[in-house]
Amino acid sequence: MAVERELFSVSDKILYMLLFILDKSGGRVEGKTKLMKLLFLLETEGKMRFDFPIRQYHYGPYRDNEYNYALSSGLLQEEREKILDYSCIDVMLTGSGAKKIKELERLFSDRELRKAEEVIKKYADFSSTRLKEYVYKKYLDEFKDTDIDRFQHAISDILPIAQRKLEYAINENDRKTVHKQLKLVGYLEHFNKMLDGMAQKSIDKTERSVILNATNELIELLKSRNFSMEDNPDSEEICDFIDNYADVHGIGKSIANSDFSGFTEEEKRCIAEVLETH
Amino acid sequence: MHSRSAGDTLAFVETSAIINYAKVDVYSSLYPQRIPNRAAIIRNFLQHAIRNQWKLKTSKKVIGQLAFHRDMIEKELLMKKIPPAKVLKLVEVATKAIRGFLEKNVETKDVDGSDLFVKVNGFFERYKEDQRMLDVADMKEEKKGGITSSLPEQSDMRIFADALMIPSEYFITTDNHFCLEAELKAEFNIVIISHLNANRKMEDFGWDG
Repeated sequence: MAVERELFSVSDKILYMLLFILDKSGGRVEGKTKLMKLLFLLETEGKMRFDFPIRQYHYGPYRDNEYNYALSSGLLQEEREKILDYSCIDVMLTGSGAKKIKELERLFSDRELRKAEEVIKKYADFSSTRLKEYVYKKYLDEFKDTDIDRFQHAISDILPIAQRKLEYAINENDRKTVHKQLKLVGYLEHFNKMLDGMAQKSIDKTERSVILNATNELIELLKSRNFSMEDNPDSEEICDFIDNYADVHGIGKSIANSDFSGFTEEEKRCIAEVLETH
Repeated sequence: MHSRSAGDTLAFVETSAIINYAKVDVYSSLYPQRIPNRAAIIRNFLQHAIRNQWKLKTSKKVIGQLAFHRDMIEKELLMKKIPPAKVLKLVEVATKAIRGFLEKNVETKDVDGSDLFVKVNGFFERYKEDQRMLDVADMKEEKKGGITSSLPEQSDMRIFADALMIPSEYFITTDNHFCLEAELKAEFNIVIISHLNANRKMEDFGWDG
């Protein structure tokens, strides 16, 4: 059923981003491939939290549903061009597409949209071929299965430091820092388990690379911020991204998934007691 | 029985009602045999209100209070040595439930009921020796320990004043301090709906179950 939903649904979020890419590229993108790669990079590098995965096919990351919907609804149009003997299709935003952008803009925060724009600008001058090569190289070749173990070790090294900062905040009664630091420690523990799961099953190469790239980015960012989540929205965003990406791609369940099977009876009793006072 | 057309009923949802709404989600998976009665009643009422197209509103102060409760719950659980990943999981599940409820069903207004606060505060001051209010304080004392007041928290009175600014016909809460249903209606022309009277109200409205 979930697969059916994924295959046949049109995601407003992905539809919006397709139109947004066109809008921020001056209303025209050279080729559907480039549009799809940019969409993929918005998810991976822009940390956009989509509700359906951009799947890896033999010709690269791709998702047709929203594109076909936009085409048939007149939100975008294709223009065939013949350059020398090579036929290519430019994709253009229509007036209805521009209106649709306004209608759907509430789906993303200003911060997310700024970030998306940065990613689009960064790759604006890349040709379709260059962009494809970049995506393949970065997301197919950079990390191997053997890197999973390396990242697990890195997380295990960070955890005690982050935990100490959390304990300090609890003792200081600094509830805001407790909240931020809890998010870091909780997610790191969660991700370590997820990496365990990844090491034990066969994962699609692109999906593995995306998760490991994001984990790598998170670790580097945390190092530069002295393992603190305070004033560190980028790390928070990456944590949310990894959690959502793993869930949507079936790599691991989101931490917000209400499966409490790992909780002991004593923990459940204790939680119920605390909740009852609020 | 009241006859109403869809979408013309305005109700303000207060912090405790939202927390209790989400509690049902959390308890259902975590500890189904301990779902608090008041949570089940108020959620059932809110679900009926949504089905009957009530216009549910809340205020930014309520959102602030929700964050405060979240932070407090996190801290209390960590101090009881629940592992961080489990605390985060619990909080994220609850946050997801609250966010889902608010985003789909409730409009958040940025209102400032400061002008009405004096009147609200004066009302509760007048009733602070009322036996019903003293009973609420006793109950709270038993549950939380320490000396508690028969007055609602200042922040809760401010939120009530916000609700009067919107203006709302109903105030949905699970805070026992708002037990003076008739007196509040007479003074502020607002009907309190809580876990204490929600089932009766549903019968009045002709809502099944």
